[in-house]
Amino acid sequence: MSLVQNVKQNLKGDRNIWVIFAFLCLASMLAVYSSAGIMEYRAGGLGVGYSILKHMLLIVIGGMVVYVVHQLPHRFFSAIAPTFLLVAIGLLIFTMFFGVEKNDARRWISLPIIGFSLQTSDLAKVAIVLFLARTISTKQAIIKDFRSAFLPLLTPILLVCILIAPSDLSSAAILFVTCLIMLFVGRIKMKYIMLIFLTGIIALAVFILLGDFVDGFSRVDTWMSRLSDFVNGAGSSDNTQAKIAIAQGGWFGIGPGNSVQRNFIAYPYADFIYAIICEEYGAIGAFFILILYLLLLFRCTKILTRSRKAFGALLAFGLCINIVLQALANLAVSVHLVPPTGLNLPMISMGGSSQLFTALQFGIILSVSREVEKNGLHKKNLKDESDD
Amino acid sequence: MGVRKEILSRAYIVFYLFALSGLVIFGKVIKIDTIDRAYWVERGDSLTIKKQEVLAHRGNIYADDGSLLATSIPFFDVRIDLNSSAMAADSFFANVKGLSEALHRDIWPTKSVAKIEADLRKGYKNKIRHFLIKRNATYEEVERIRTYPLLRLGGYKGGLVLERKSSRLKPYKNLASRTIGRKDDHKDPVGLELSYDKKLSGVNGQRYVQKIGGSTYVPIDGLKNIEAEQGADLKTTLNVNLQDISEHALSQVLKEHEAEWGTAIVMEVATGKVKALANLGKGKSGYYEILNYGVGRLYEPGSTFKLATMMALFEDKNLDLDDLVNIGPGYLKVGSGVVRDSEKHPFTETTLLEAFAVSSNVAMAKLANHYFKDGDGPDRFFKYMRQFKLKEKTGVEIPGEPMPDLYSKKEREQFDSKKGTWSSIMSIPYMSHGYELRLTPMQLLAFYNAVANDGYYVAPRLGDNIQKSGKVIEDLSKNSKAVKIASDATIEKAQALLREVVLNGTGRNLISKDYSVAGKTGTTRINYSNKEATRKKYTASFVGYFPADNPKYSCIVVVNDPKKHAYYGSKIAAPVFKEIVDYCYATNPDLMQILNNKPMLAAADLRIPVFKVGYTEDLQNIFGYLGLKTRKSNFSQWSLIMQDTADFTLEPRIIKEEVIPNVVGMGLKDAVYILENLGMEVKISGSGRVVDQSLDPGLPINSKKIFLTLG
Repeated sequence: MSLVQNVKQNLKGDRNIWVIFAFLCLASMLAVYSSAGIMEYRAGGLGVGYSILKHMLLIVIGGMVVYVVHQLPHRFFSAIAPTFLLVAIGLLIFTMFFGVEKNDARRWISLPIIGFSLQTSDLAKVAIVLFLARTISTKQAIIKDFRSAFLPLLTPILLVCILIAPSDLSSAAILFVTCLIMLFVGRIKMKYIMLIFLTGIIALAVFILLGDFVDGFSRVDTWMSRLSDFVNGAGSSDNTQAKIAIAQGGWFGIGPGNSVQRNFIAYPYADFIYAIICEEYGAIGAFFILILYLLLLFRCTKILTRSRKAFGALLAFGLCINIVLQALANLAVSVHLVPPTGLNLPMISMGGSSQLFTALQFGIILSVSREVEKNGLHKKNLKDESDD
Repeated sequence: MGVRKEILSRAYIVFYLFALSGLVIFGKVIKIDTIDRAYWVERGDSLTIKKQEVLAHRGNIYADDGSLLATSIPFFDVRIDLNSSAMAADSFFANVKGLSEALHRDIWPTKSVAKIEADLRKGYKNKIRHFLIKRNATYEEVERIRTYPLLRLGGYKGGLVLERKSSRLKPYKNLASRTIGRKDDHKDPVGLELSYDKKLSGVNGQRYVQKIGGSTYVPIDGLKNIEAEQGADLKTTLNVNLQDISEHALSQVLKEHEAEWGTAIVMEVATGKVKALANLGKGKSGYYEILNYGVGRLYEPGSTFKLATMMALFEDKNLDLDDLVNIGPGYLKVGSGVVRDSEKHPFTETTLLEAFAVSSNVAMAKLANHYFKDGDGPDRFFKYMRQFKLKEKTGVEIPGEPMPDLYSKKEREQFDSKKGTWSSIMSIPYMSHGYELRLTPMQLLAFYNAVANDGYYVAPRLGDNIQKSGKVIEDLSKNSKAVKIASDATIEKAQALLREVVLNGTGRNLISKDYSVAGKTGTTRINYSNKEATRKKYTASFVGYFPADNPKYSCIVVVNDPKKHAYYGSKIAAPVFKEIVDYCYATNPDLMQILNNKPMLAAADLRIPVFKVGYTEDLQNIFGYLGLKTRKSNFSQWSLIMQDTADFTLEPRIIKEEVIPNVVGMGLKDAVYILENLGMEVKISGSGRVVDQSLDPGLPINSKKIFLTLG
């Protein structure tokens, strides 16, 4: 009991976020258990339960990551930010040329000793958010300046996004928007943000053109077909099956483990896991999952209001935006508001290494929260004072 | 605006935007769950759930003793899905050689292992999903195939694909196959399978199945599933042995005389149960059950029809068997035709009895002319035909029975093909001896059967009862009612006529001192209307019943167009009839009574093998079966048969270990068995029974070798 009590005592930071994390883990276990069986059935191979057990193990490791990371002082993150970004960019370039290819995309590098493959974009994601949080907070005085504040921010954003884009356009887009939001919240002028937005659009256009002419440059083909399907209202078979799943679920769902549609969706444990949740737990379950993410964002916004220091607040907010944005994007795909993107539902989908990075993000958020709990502003004595 | 406030307000804007997006997403969920729900649910069901018909198990068809005549057994088309997503490349390449060897051993012995392996590899490369291993494999074969390398991995990993089919199996192969019939998708249904299809086929069920990926379906509980109702079994009246004898005898005759087709039908007199219905037609190489000639083929019965004419005369004019009829010079001009007798008779006037026995066509024609030609004569004639049930179908349960082609003038006017065929001069005299009319063998037999059954007509039938799990649920015999077709006096005379045919007429070669038969021969010209025919064609037939008193079975044999040796009914059809009669007597204890009534040893010129040694139990069985009494002094495994004045005695022949036994009188098999069990080496010369042995019985076994002389 002492260990549990010890852990309990050491669980610092926003209790709500801890609870949200726990619920997400629980939802993940249930949903993956229900939907991954079909994958194992299809694949034969290592026997039923292997992937599910691996996933459960990752959740446990994820929990440990959160626990360890949340105890680190967030100044530590500030300190490593620039180096971390440089390493991440280096790895991205490495991946681009020497990465492991899966499903036509080169996103992974294989870690030699532990035999674990790692999606470098996940790493870069955290790195760029760290870097932005640090730079925005340190340059708050001159934040409205173009040359001294905006450009140093813009360059790494574009660099990282462009490096990610060829293999994983969706993630790059999510990251790009995350960065934009961080800039926006970090008081960058709207004018510049519009400018960077335009730059992004142009970059996308160039990227698509390049993909059109240079064979194998990117997965533009995949993207274009998804997009045109969506515009034409065709919807892939997965979209159809996902909607059937949601409709079958009704209000209360058909019960855990009873999903039928998991048999017909290509990756029921990844892209379309939300549809399976809708099928098994109904609109109620769907609402619950959605609320978990929005609540997470709400709590992180609260951190922002309480934090005395801009870095921590922006860091937590940025990481949170990244998680929630990806979650909403995934949900939007499941209900067919946007074309299929291949994005996982953070913390819920079966996602291998990215699960650990999401856990890392949670850990950092909680680390910030821990310090805010300790030193932050409280409602009672909320004062309008600027940060240092 | 302060820095902090600006940051916070911007953060809240972001939060609200996100919350709004969340709302939109949830709104879409709600929309799919409410407004669009019906559409998507139905779409889902249509994609994943389907109704499947559950085929009912078809009932069996049994012979009268319960022997299985037709049953349904599962067959499988066996294939390999070489593109199964679960089939690992490693396991394919590791097992392909072993699989090829197994296939070479069991399935394709003529194809080399290397060739099979090459084919498999090619199929794998080309992602063939239906690599055929074997069509119509039995369950046992499939069980064996399951153990082959690769396939034994099971399920999708092994790639074994089985397509289940149901096939009808006739354990007796061709026996009565046309009568049993068939009901499959490939050929027109015929026979009992068709006529009792409703009872046999049962009711197909329905179930809902759900796709669980690929082409795998599982039944869903909770939906309205209708259980398949198994088909009922049909017990027929057919007797396997009698059918076998009939087919065999018929086939012999057809082959010997190179006939076109033949039929033999055996019917139980009292009940109308058809015990055998053999139909053989000339095929490419031999004779097969091609059509159901007995039920479906109309033919001109010729002389066998004279019985009907005679009975009409008895009914109408109360003629007597002793009444005389003038047959003149042996032929009679009738209009443009001439009615002839087939043989010249040494008399010009004879009794009705003799005229019938020698099958005089002239006598029949004259009698018919005299009584039925003029005035209301034809009407009366047809009235009796109707009364004798010769103008209606028997209703035997083989689809395709035609109406008898036996029509009056008026009736003929109704058919285009028959219009104007009636001749007031020729029709009646010709019909009287069986021309200008056609019946099926079964219809004629039913008429003779009624005569045998003291005038009571019973419709022939093949179905005995309908059973379910061995319980009779419908007795089909209740359907047939006996109808009297003629007065007792007429029947008595008819029976006398038929007996006379065998005793003193054309059926004399059926005479046996052990049993009595009554019947009528028939030899019909079939191509008389073709004046240019180079060869006269005939149908030979015999129809009758036995025993002549208290008949038990009636039987008809028809052989169409025999081309060799002979064409008379008495020469061709009667021998088949006789063989059937012989068999019935040999196996039917009721009929054997006639034999049993006589003192056994005197009656049968029995040669009992006395002074022979055999296995006691066997000997007792044989003597018991023959109804002979035996005495035995004391029990022993081996016995010597001794005969004294009245009885047989089984003397024990004791076999002891360590002592040379007495094997004289034994069969070789028994002798060798005994001697080799004693550890001796046996050498023999000659054949037959043991007459001498080289070592004297009773001596201790010193030498291992013994020499037996057989003779």
